[in-house]
Amino acid sequence: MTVASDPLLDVENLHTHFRTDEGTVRAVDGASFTVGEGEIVGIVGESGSGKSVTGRSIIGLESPGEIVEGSITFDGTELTDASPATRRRLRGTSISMVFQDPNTTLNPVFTVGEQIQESLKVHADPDRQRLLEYLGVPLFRSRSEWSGYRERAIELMEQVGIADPGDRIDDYPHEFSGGMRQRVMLAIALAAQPDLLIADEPTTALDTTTQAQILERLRELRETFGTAVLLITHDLGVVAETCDRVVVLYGGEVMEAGPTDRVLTEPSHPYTRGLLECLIEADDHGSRLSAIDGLVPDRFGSEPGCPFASRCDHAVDECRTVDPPVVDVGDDRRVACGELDRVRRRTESDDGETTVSGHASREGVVPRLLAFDGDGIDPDTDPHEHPVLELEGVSKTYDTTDSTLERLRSGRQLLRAVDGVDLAVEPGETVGIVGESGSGKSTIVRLLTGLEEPTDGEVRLDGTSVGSVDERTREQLADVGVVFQDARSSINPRLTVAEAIAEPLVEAGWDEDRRERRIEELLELVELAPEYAQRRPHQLSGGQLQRVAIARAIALEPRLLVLDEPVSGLDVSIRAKILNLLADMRDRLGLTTVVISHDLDVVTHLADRVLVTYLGRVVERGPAETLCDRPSHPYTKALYDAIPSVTGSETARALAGEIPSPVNRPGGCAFHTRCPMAEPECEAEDPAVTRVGEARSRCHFAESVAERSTTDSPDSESPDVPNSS
Amino acid sequence: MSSETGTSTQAPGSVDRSVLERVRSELRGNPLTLAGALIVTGLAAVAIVGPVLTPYDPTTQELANRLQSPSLAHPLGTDQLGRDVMTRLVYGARISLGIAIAVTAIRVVIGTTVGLVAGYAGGWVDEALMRLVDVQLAFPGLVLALVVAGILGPSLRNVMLALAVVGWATYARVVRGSVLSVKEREYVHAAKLVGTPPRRIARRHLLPNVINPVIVLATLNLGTVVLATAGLSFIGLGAQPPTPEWGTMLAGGRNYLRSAWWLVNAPGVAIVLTVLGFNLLGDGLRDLLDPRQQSRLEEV
Repeated sequence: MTVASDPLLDVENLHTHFRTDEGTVRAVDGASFTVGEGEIVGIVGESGSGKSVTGRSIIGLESPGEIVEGSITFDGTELTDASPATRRRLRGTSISMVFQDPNTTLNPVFTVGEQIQESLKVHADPDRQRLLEYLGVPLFRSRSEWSGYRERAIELMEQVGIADPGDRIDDYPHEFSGGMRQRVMLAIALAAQPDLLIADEPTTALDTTTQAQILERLRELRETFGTAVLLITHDLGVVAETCDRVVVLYGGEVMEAGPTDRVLTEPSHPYTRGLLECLIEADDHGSRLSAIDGLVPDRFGSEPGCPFASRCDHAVDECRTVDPPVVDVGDDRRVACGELDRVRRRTESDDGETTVSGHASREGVVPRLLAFDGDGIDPDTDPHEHPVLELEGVSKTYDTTDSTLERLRSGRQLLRAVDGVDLAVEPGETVGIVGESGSGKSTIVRLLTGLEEPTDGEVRLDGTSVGSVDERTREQLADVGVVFQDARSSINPRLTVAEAIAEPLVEAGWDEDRRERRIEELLELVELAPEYAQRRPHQLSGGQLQRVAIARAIALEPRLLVLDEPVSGLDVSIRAKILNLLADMRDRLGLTTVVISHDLDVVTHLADRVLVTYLGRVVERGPAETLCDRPSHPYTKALYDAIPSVTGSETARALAGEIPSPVNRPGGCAFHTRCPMAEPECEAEDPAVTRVGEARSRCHFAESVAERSTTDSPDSESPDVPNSS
Repeated sequence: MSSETGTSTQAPGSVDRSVLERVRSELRGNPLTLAGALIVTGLAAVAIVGPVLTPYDPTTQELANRLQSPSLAHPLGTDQLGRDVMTRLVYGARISLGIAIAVTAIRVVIGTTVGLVAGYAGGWVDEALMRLVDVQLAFPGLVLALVVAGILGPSLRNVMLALAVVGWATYARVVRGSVLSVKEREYVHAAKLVGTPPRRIARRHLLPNVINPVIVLATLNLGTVVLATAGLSFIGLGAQPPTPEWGTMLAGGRNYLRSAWWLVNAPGVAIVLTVLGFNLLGDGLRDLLDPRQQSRLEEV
């Protein structure tokens, strides 16, 4: 433990409040914690817990909120009453920040090189900012100075893992992928050679594979430069992978703080326990997830008491009236809870029960795990009963050539978003589709719902070939219900909940009485109180909105329910509830379901069968358990390896590189550019589909991959999987 | 589940109250918006009830009383033909506001329709309509209106037509831009997937979500139209004497600038006030309807 006598950053009883027309919002309400030199500290909590505002208060970006009480000491300097000039100088030299969304934090009109150089320049000369420099005119005095900065910028880009930095330094942000942009942000932050790096959800917008790469960089930075990191995240897995210590925040107050491994393995505070229980563990396929009751309140009042009391199972009257004491439970751990002993006793007594409480067995639904639709080999489905959904050799190609002139000069540029996908979904079955962004899974959704028409191949519903939305009959439209990714954008903000749910019913020609009854029924089904019918979207939380979206999707009792990233963007506890709801609904209504997600956990949890897509092709398919335990394609294995795990002692292994552009698809096996076990023949020859047990894999070495996955015990470091990029 | 229901802070039906709340806080926080709102309401009131209050007729000539300076009987004096300036001003407000509203309404309807169709249909329809808009925007508006009014012959109706024809392009641009982004929202996809016909998608899902900037633009535009109408009338293409129109009044009074200052100043001040009122109100509405501010309020 690096807790020296004087920590690098010491936050003491911090209060940051926002004054609004409707009263004061106490975003941070008495948080205290420290960050030692070279230490990685995680701040976790659900949205609304005040974690971002805490980070922003430290670096001085709390406006429009204001720090009303408390102190922030950085390296001996008190920041709360420091002059703006002092704070600015610190920002240029000692504290840096990386934000969540790399799409909006980089300036699109400057090359990434210019932006890194600007940061270097400010660092070298923090006090001199001339007017012309503000206008961006002569940033450098001489050519030699310019090239010096340029070299440093290239070096930084190399350090954060950008391949060919010399070539890419003059590229603009839009020419980079999300993960690469986040690396550029990291380079800009590092240009100041900071002692403390504040990273606010740096990997939330990224794929798991990219996330693992970025987290690895953060750890490396600490090793090489001794940079301390304050990592703000909602993901306990990320904390477990990266942080030495963790601070659990709720209602702007620290609930629990201590060394990561201790807090995560033996959580003391009921809130920490709740958060941990919400997580999906790889082996509990199909089981019910536990969730924390209730929602993070919109605002926390000024009344005393534990902020978590309203959602805590163990709360007693005292919790609501008296501020909880901060208890030191040893090992440098502090917990803000007055009922620790009781909590411990009670959870010990009913341990084991909570996790398996509702193991929803799926009776009456016999997924045909073996009835495989397979890449033209043997679609041995029962000819008398049609699959609910069939895709046969479906491809979608986009023409990305801009102009006719371009077309004449260099020929057409074709983007193969989806390339020859076969799929048959049997009645009652749940099929999952996973892949990184850019793997074509969203296009598959658009194709099977009819928002796009395939360039090639056929989509069949119940054996009948269907075209795009405009060509489908009312019955065919009613047969497919879709839940979209972003609940907030999937409900028209101008309609009431009832109006939104009624839409499919109106189109199906239901009269008003019948509609009203059905809406009532549906609200009950998705567990929303009837009075919600008259509310508008902005009065609902993300989880509630997703329930409305689910109600709309199942309004006409569709044969097929399509879930497009149904829980991404939701907090863990809400996510657990929505996943439970979806599983219940599917089982009660006997729905056939296709679930698409970049999150293997979610897909493995819900689906019977999983398809893994890479660059528009299915590289592996098989029963969810098989893929999880014994992946037979290196890509599947890499995806599982990249998931940060809370319990496993194994650190996430990053998959090297990033997904190539579908415009220039690599020859042979498309994955060979990133595959840790690629052989020359992978580049030359497109692998055929091999059957490995119940799975099918498009890999030359499927058998040996599967074998290795089984023998690969968590602790043994497999030497043939290099994890540098 | 019950847990998720109990926590909402607002009771059903509170939407309208929250809108009122926002209007109130904008008016309180920004006195200029209040000033704008007062001017516009005042003008509207004058235009509607004013004629009842004044004892004179705006067109009856009373040569015995010509060019009298302001007095109790004639608060703003009389003109060269002995008509009460105040009365003419009040009747003029009717004409100016009426024309402004009619012209803006025509512009909004044409522009919004073109924008919706272009944005939602896309492809060659979009291309064709937007090139038409480009052509329209490439012409200086007032000059074009002048030409149109000149060709059609001087009259108020023709001024109205001329102004309506030249001004809708901006609306089309604004609406098309918003439609392009709104039509990719998932609720529009969801509507498509349940078989909602395009016309209903446009009316129910697109229009309400793109209309805010149009409202702001229309308010700001009302002032411009008042100005343009007065301008065209001033040079003789619009209202013809003896119609009590502000531009015509200006034109008639300009010969008496030295001897009867009130003749020109009264309509001049009226025009300035009107334009100012609409501009202030428009700025306030922009704050109020700004989507960024709205979403911030929704999040808190």
